[in-house]
Amino acid sequence: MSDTPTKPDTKDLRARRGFMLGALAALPAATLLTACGDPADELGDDGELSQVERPLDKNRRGCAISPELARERLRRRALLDRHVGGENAHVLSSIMETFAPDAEMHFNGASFLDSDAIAAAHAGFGMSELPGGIAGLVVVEDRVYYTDDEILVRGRILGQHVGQIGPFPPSNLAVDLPYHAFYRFNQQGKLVSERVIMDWTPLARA
Amino acid sequence: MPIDERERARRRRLAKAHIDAENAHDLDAIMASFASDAMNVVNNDVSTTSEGIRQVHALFGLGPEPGILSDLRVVPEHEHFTDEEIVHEGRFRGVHTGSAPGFPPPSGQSIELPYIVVYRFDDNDKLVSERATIDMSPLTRALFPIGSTP
Repeated sequence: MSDTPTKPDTKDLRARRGFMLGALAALPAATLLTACGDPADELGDDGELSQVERPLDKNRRGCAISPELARERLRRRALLDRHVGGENAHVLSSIMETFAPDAEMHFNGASFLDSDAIAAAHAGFGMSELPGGIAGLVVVEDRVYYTDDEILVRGRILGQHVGQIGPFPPSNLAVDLPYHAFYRFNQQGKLVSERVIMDWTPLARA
Repeated sequence: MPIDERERARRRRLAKAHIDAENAHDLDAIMASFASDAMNVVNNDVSTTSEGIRQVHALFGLGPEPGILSDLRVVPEHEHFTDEEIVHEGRFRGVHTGSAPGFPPPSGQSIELPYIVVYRFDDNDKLVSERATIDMSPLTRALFPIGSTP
């Protein structure tokens, strides 16, 4: 648990990924060997994708990733960065622009099936310009995974629990709320499904 | 995806064996599915020893004795594959009858705890990493009964 959560600089990340998308578009249609996972992690500071399978630890295996798959993963990652960037900037309109009109959000089994409900859920946590349940809220992505058609994030929400969230009255404690979240983007680049499982019981520790 | 159907079937079989052992409340079989240097993460709690991993499973009620939950069932509902893992979305189903430090007192209620678990198996078919996020808030409903959404 962190007493003084800091906001990561997402601007650099977004710029880097935009550059990487351009670099990948110019790649030949040959299979590239990379480590498994995020193709963005395989790019050096110069934006060049490694052609050689790098040493992996004993529990990791190399993966052959086609340029098409790498581009699709970078597309998802850039869209995710835009969504999380809006959350960390606390700009509700930016967050909602990342959703498709018919998007669904599911949080710990509860469903939010229209834009107003999705916006209210984000604002309730403290992701809008107005105060919410968590002051100084920061979304931290610890690991990103790619499935066949979604992107999965393991992360944490950090901040100060200053307002009511769901059933939990403010504790004024610094909180660290772990989550896994699946995001599905359509071909128009809009988020059609966000499914989050979060342990928010640290909010109950007043 | 870079993995083929054979690899998917392998992971599916190994995950099923692990969950079958959990649902049989057979701690030895559960632990036999782990590598000796495995890691287990439940929410913010990390276990890196066999004894720690065994204790976590027993705490929830996946051993022969009831834990926080009795009659506990692990119910996976959706599976996904990453380059290196199999991922389940599902629910723990049980009765909140047990107590443990840091957990609310037992309510006697039947509850469901939604989860996402990321399982990674090594080439020796052993589980090297089990990372779970579990919504534990249903355990707190007796103390915080109003509202289930942000």
